[in-house]
Amino acid sequence: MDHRSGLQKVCLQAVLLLFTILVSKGEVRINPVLAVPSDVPYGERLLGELNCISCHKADPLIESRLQSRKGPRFGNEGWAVTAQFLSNFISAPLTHKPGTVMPDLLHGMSADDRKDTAEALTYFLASLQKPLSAGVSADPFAIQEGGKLFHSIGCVACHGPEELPANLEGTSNSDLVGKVAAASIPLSKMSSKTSVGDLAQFLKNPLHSRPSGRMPSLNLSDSEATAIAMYLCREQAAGIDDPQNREARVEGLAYQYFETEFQDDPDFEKLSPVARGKTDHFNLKARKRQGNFGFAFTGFINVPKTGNYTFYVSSDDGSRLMIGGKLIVDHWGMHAGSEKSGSVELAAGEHPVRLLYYNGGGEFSLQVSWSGPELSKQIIPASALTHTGKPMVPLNPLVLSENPEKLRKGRELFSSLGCASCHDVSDQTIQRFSARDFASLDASSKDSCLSETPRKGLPRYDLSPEQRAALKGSIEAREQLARPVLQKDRIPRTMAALNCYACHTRDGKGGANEERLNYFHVLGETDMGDEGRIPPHLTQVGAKLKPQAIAEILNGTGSVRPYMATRMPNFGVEHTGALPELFDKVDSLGTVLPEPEYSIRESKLGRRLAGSGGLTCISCHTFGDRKSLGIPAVDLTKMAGRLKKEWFHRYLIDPAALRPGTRMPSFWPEGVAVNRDILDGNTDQQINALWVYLSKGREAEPPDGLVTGRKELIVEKEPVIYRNFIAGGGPRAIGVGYPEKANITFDANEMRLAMIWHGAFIDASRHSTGRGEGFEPPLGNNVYQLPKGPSFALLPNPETAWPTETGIKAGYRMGGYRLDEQRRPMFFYKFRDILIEDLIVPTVGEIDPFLVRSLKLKGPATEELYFRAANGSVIEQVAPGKFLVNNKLTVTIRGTGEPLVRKQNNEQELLLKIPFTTGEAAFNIEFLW
Amino acid sequence: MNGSVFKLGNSFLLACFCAATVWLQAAAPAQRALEESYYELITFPIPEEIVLEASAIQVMPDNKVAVSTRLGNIYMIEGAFSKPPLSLKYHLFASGLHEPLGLTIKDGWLYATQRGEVTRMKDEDGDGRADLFETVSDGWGINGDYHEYAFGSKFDRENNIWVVLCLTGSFTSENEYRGWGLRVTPKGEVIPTVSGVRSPGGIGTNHLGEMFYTDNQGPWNGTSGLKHLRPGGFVGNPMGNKWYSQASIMGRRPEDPKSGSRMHVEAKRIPELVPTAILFPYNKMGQSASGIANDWTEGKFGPFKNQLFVGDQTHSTVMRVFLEQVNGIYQGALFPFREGFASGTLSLEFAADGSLFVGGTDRGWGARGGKPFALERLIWTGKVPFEIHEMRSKPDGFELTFTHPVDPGTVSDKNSYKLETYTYIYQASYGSPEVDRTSPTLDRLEVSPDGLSARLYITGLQVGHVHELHLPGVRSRQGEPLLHPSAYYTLNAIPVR
Repeated sequence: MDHRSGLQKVCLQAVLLLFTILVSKGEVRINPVLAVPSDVPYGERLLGELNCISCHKADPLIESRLQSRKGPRFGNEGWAVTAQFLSNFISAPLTHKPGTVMPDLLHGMSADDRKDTAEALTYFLASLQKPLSAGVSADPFAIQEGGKLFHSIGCVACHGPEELPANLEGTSNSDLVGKVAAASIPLSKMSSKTSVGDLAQFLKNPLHSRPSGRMPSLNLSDSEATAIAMYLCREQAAGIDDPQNREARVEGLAYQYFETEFQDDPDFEKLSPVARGKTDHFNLKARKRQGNFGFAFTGFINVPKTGNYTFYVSSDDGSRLMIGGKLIVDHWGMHAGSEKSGSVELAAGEHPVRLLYYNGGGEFSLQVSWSGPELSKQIIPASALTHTGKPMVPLNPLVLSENPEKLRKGRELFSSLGCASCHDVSDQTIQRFSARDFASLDASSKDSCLSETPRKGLPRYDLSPEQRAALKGSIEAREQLARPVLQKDRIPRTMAALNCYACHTRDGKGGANEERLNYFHVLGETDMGDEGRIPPHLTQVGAKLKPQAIAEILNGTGSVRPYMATRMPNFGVEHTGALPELFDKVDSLGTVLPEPEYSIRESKLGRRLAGSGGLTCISCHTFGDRKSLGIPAVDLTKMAGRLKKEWFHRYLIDPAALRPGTRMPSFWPEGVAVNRDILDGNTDQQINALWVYLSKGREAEPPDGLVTGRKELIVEKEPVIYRNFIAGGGPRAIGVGYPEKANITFDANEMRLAMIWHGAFIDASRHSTGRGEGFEPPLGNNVYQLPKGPSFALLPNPETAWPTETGIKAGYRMGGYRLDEQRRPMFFYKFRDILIEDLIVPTVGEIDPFLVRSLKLKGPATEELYFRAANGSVIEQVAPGKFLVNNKLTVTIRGTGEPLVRKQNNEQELLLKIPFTTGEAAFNIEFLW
Repeated sequence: MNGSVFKLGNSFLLACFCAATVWLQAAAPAQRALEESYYELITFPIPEEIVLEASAIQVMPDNKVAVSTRLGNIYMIEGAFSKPPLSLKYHLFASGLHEPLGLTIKDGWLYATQRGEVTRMKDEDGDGRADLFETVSDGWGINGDYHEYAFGSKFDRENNIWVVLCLTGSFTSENEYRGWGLRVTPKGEVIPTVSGVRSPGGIGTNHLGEMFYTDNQGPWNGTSGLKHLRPGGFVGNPMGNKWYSQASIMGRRPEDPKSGSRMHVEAKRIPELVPTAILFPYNKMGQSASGIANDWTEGKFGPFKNQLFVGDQTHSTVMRVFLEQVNGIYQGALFPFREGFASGTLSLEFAADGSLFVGGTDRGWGARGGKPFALERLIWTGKVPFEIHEMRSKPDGFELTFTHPVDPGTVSDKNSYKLETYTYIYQASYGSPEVDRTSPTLDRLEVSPDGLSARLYITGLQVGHVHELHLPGVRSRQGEPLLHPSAYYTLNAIPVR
């Protein structure tokens, strides 16, 4: 976070600087996005955005035409903001928030008068609102996540970004943030304006206090709203990451909670938490289900006395404990409840602590204890744990003392200055100010709000000469404003007023510019190009979508693009309710293809077309809950319900004509069917059949090729080799299934026998369907994981720790394998200059098969060569050369060499010292499990 | 425009559109039949139990055809040269490999490029199945992301195999040399050779032995392209450039390109940046460029000796490329060649008899072909189609050569041509629309006396742009139109002479 906040500072400074330059040059004035070209005359847009007719009463026809933007609502209904914000903003809105539409009403006053007036108004407004909510504990993870959300879900479609998008971090695009921000709707400095709780509440339902729909809801969950609020108010949490900053700490630990199908070796860095919070100590109380969940606990541990401490983690399944960034206990992997420990020298004082825990299903448990100088083994108590969690409160507080006189004066000013014209305070007794009627305004008057320096008492807007001219033009032509708006013109008006054009283009207007487009992302790694990240264009959208589908999109229930990070906002049905019908009428193609009658035959042929062997639509398109074979393109079962048939027909023939840049290929290029088998390649009939099939929606029978099922590789007479991504065997695993029903995985990156198991070999369906994503675990039973890390090492003495470096870095080279007469692979590889031949031969045993691994070594003589046969928490010798590991695996070593069991890092290791003074050695290891 | 006019306009459009559909339904199969009359496509029957997602092809010295599959098998196919292919025999030569995307042979060994290594294999006991698998080289990293494909070339002049490595995901390089082109020497050493790779679809040499690969639309690739693997070069995607720290032979890490710029603009600033030799305009010329094969068969495949043939997986086509070098940089023209392959074209391989083997798959990436996988053979019927043979850039325009003498009247008529140019945004985000569109002026035309070439004198050539040329009016002396009346020339540099 440290470098990040530095960057933020730089960015913020850059934005401010840019604004200052532009504003001082008079280039950007009120609300820069208003300058985005649209079909609505600029002057009319300004009349609406400045809400001119709230003081200058106008004809109801003009009122409905302008769709004016009202000021924020005050009172209990509104968003509670701080006194310091109110006072600063009211006294100088144009410098406090460049680009604002709020006029300066106090200009021309002496500095003292200005201060008094602002203060009185602040007293009055503060008295209307509910008190600010209490400070919320700062959460660095929430701040980080809030930043990600702010920059991806659509906030920066209108507002300025504060950071570079992740994919451009560290590139030479540092001017991007400033460029985008300069053309954005300004935001106040949230850290002094409000509290996290109040901002979160506002973000969840902005229409409540901003009734004009300019600030829409992004359908945020409570946790998302809080995260974004924390991010925007992050200056209130300055310094929480500093380990020296004890003031920022509170008792207990912070946690992130995850829910996912946990595999053997999860990567927590790639997971997104579903919840966050604080807890008193390491425990699983906050879990929300019985399996497949995980936690990351973070905080500081207070060490009472300098000395050697041992930490014990008992977990089911995996866990990892880190102190001061160092891994102390590694109890990773799927396993039953068991304890592991690790020791570390710690100085008295606080040390950062982090614990990762996950459960893949079945039983779950976690207990973390410690022991040390004058400290017997005990569960780490809450009193020894702290985390950064300073309450976030608004900066630069201004405390208002009781002063009924100022309050009364403020109330009077609120009315007399005209504030009540724009701001609703739910108090009918407040007199609304009214100026000259709109109909009798004199646009050429030298003494008006549009004068360059209006007289004292008139509102002063930060208008550019161009904006002033546009306003005057529209006022002069006001007779035309009273004409009813044509249907087709209502769409661009609404789209301009609500700034739909920030994301969508329609008829060549709007859409984010090249720079802002950098902030539109796809979720995860979905490989969908711009279609996956940029909201669709709306040209002819009424010809594409049924009105009901548009209504659903507008009310937040019609989303069909789960891969897109940017969300479709909800502007409130009072502002968008007319759009579905308007789009339908205005975009109508005039001709309506008759809805074909449902026919079983056609539906079946349509199903063949959608499936593999037909056109394989399911290569890319999902089908209800079922994934496609590739990317998650729009759900086939939703198409007929959303789309109009004419459009579907046209789109299938030439997708790129209706959606430029789409990755959807045409299967009827130039109208000619590429599939000549179904319906004799008749284009119309094929498309019709697809439509009939899709019109069944979720009730349609899924297409062929989608139901993948299991593809077990069955081992019959000879061994089967499977090189692929195998869970537990790495990305270069070589799986071997033997006819004896024993199986192994050899890790060709680390040159080690990684896993052995009984029964069925492996399911190849994951890698033989779709793009073949992910790691496949063994299919059989009794899976036993052999030691991670290198199998051979040179140890100067028997106490030397077993090295952790593996593969090429540790001097190993993969050589390959030779199949013997039974087609069993004999692996060969090198450790330094020693050539190793490694053959594994299974034998059918009394109950289960067992394996004998024969190793032959040849190379430069050395006296330091060791082999590690097994490791585990308990290794017992049960007979000469025979060992029982973890009460599960029996290892018998035959041939030359001295077996030796030793303890290392709270773990036992079964080593074999290999006599290699002749430069040759051979030994066998039998695995029975 | 008022509402009623608007509606009229739309129904008029729809009427035109329907009429066009009817007309094209008649016209396009005729076009396919025409292609078929010059280049015949034979689709091999495949036994039901074999999933032949043909990922790489190698014709063996005994005329068997080795075909590897995405599921890791290698089949030896006997009888592939018989016509019709009714006596095919499929022998399983090897199995269990990790998605091999390259096959080649040397000294009795069959080499396969797997995801994690180059492997060579041999049948030692003569039972027709490989029993010795040697790791030739594994000098790159792999994480377990499905994008981590490794495409391997045939042997080059120095007996190296070139391997181009896809990035870890679409956007990152998590492991050594992800997003690079490497050379694997006969000793198995790895020489980091080219940086800037994103997502390859095929690799192969031109007739001079220079190595090229196809890279797909995505971050820093406005559209798919054919790129020259010039040793020491950077071909455009900077995500893998952190590995310069390991690759001292490559010198210093090039400066990062500026997102939102144009490639030819950045190339002026970044000397290592090798501009894409051929841009494949998205949707017009495929959507996922794949395998590359150079016609080395000395005329047995028709008039296109030494030209490159490049597959497109989505459109299930094979396109044709003419390359030339201007100021040391490769550029050239792209032409449609043959459509209608049964599955998504992936692997291409010429046989000595002049036929082109084409393997296909549509798994994970849909394809027009419609079949989940296929193996096909494209044979020249001996009839020469009327085509643009070569398209060369000139200081003041282009020179076209034709496969048949042209009709001087139509070729000299400016109205026979349509020319526009555009390029793509060079950016970190995915792909790009066509931008910076221009319409150069065709000033003058000149036909050679033998009628086999024409000079187009043009004002307004655009460096860094695709020059999209349509020649609907051009006729041969026999009055035939061009089989494919379009060409897409990527102009990286304008020659001085």
